[in-house]
Amino acid sequence: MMSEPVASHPSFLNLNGIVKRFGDFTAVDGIDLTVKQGEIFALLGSSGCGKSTLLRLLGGFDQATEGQIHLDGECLNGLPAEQRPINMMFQSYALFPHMTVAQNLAYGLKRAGMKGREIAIKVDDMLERVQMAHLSGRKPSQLSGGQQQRVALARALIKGPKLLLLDEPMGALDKKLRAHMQLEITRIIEDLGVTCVMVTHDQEEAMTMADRVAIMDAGRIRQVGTPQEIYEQPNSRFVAEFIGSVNVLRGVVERDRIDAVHLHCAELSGNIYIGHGLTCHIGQQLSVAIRPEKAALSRHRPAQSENLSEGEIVDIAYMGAQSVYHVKLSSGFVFIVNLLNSQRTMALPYQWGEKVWVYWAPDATVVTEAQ
Amino acid sequence: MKLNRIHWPSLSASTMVLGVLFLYTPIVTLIFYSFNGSERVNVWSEFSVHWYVELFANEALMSAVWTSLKLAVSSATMAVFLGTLASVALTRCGHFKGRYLFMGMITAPLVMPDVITGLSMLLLFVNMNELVNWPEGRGMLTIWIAHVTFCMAFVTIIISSRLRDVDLRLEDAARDLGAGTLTTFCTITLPIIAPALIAGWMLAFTLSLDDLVIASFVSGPSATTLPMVVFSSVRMGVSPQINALATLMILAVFITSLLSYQLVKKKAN
Repeated sequence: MMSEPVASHPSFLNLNGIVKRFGDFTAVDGIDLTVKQGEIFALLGSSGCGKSTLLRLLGGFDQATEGQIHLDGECLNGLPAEQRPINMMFQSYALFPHMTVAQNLAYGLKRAGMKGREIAIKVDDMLERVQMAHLSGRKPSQLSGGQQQRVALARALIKGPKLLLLDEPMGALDKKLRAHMQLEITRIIEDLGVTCVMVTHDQEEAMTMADRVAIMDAGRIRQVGTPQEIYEQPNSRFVAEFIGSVNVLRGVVERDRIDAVHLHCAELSGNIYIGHGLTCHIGQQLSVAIRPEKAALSRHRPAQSENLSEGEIVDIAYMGAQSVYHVKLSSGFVFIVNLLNSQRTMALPYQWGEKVWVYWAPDATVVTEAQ
Repeated sequence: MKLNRIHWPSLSASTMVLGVLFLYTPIVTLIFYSFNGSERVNVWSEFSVHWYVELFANEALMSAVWTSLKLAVSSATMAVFLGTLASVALTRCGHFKGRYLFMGMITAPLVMPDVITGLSMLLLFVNMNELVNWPEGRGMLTIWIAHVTFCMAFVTIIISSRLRDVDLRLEDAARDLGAGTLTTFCTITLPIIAPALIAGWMLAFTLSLDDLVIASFVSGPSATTLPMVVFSSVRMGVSPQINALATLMILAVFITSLLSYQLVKKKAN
């Protein structure tokens, strides 16, 4: 998949059949996962999907009911949090309120038995790295959200952990600061080359920061891949709908050739043409996903006989960089199309109630799960 | 609109004045008469510090003050220690079996009439003395045990509610950075709940200093606390010495709260 700088550790972190039950409730239900050294790996899912539980199992705050965790060839099962070479940046940071920034950073080093001089050097070095040296004497309550985050990151990195865990790293920041800190944190982590597993419910955050993403649902992993793979080649309707918005159509296989498949689609009152071969049979039901930005609008009938339908614009959302058009097809299906506003003023903008054609290219479709 | 503006402030101001008068008139009267030269408590003659001199010469009273202070400090300290342990058990040990029973039993002394607590303590001490020869007779030790018992209930309420508010992620973070359970408790949890410990200690101190009923039940001839002395002397007529003593105590309380306020303000900056 991705070429990593250290190829000698194909699987630095290894999760094997991890199950965590709380009484009757199974929070994590059989997870197998490998993370490469130096990789930033994101666990993405909605709340209650088990991603936070999995992170706590990694951190050692809870122990797995079944399965093994190996880090750098060492089994972590049964080791409590204080003995694992893993540090965590907590959600809303969990900075010690009664200690200064420098004392917060020194805390972990003191526990490791380091002496004053050595601690001071390491703390100064780390504060420099996160650009917080000038505020080392402040209490956490006297810092802004972004500054608190830098301190929390520094505190999690100062012991030189083999694995860094981030729990909803941007959850407590406002939107503008978020974009800046995502890049900043990624830069610091990559500078140090530390392997990182993060948990988030924010897909944008996962896609910006992570090398690879795992989509979680109901305690299981639905798909693992690079952000691009997850977005462009979702392996199920669930993943397709979870990441971004998507138009999902259903079709019945009519013609199955080696390099193309024709589906009959009731919602489209026409056919869907898929420009690559599939393993399917005539009469089989398939789900087809089309991303809104991969479809286009036209006032005149496009010169293609498939992958198109006529409809009426029922809603337009102007969002600055792009506009979102809701087109109601004659079957009643509402098809969403995103158009980039590349010019400041369109000569003849589309209007509410206008009759338009929706169409897309044969390679724009992703066949998700056969039903 | 105009009506509101004129009437509400004057109403609230007069309510406040009435409230303050209600609370502080007795205290001001007490302080005033402590400087009274007359032998009779309610007749003013001249300014004098005569009763202060008398007070310090009154050995029985001074020894009772000393006994009460020792009791208050030691029972407050022990109550905070035990109350902290109980609070940790209630808030950090999950839902162990009998947790609700434990919680109810710890807080029961709050609603128990002092007379019942005192009587049951007395019966316990008498029986224990007969069975295991401990505690031998009644005195400081028995009052201390009784005071720790009922103060601990109050202290546990204060500390456990604060402990419940402490973000558990802070303790997780400490463990994550390599601190064991005990280190985490001493370096993170304790400093954060310190204000509750101090508040609990001060409340226990006051409760112990103030207690007359329970102490009367469980004290022996060797130990007489201040409230007991004051109460028994009042029955023979109020001596202005008591006014002087009370004035000194109010002064001590005033200075202590001023100092703690300054300390809190300094810490906040």
